[in-house]
Amino acid sequence: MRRPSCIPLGVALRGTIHGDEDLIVAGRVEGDIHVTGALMVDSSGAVRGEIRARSVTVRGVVAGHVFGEESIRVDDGARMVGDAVAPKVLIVPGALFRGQVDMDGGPPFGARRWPSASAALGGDASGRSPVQAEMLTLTEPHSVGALPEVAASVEAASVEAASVERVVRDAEMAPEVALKPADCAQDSTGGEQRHHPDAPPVPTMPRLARVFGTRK
Amino acid sequence: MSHQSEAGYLGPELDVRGDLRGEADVRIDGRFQGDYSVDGRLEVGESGRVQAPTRTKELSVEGAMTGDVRADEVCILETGTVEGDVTTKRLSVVDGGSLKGMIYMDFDLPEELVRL
Repeated sequence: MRRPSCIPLGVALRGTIHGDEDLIVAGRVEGDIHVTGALMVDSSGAVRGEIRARSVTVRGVVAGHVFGEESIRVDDGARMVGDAVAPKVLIVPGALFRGQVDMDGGPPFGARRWPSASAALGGDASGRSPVQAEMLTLTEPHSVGALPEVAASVEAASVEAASVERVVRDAEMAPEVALKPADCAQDSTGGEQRHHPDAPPVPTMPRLARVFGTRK
Repeated sequence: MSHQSEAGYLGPELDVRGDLRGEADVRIDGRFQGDYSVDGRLEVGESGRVQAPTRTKELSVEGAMTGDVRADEVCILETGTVEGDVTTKRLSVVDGGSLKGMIYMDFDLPEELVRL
């Protein structure tokens, strides 16, 4: 296999990347990336800009829309704000994601027009689908500190990525699957909560479990 | 894949434009245009094309560079070309390598020559 290109840890690029290569971003990129190979934003990596690649794996931070010709994978520990457009979108338990998922193709790859990433980041909540609204409420109340706990509990549910994909599809087609914010209050996990009693409750555990289709 | 993340690499089919900053070793076999200021070693491979003022610690050129260069060590190899001023402490231009520009190296002449 050809050596993948790499923006290493400790390096920041303010500019654009184009080309016919595989690319690993372990540093920071502020600007658009368009490669015809595989792109990975490593756990130390951060991208603010639009990403287009054959396949995209996010382990670090992405702020911007992501277009995958084949697939997008948002991994455990990743934080992503923006839309994910690809025939296959995998969201792995433990990933934080805010944005719209589009797996139904729609206009051909490359022909879409989106509002700029900054508009997406501005938090304009109008016109969101139930899934979008759900994703917003899933991710927004958390401080980063709450993340490991949520991730751990989701992991305990032993959900396979494939089933996540299916559930996301289901949720999109049947809005009633998406849970309402009121569910936050009806937290019934009882003694399993490990966070400090004074800390705000972690609202998403039962909701994530239900979204992911966990059975008791 | 992660183990390679400490060294930067721009492959032959990659085209990067903009400001690159930070601290790392980097090899460029593709194209870079903008401003390069990364502390570490920079290798411009034979297919590499760099169009940027470049500041780094060690520079080795087998490809083509345009722009002023400032580095502790500069080595222009057989196939390398540099067009721009070079400010450095150690410089080598191998037979076949080409350089078009000023060379600035800071050193003292023997005192008896200075008095002439």
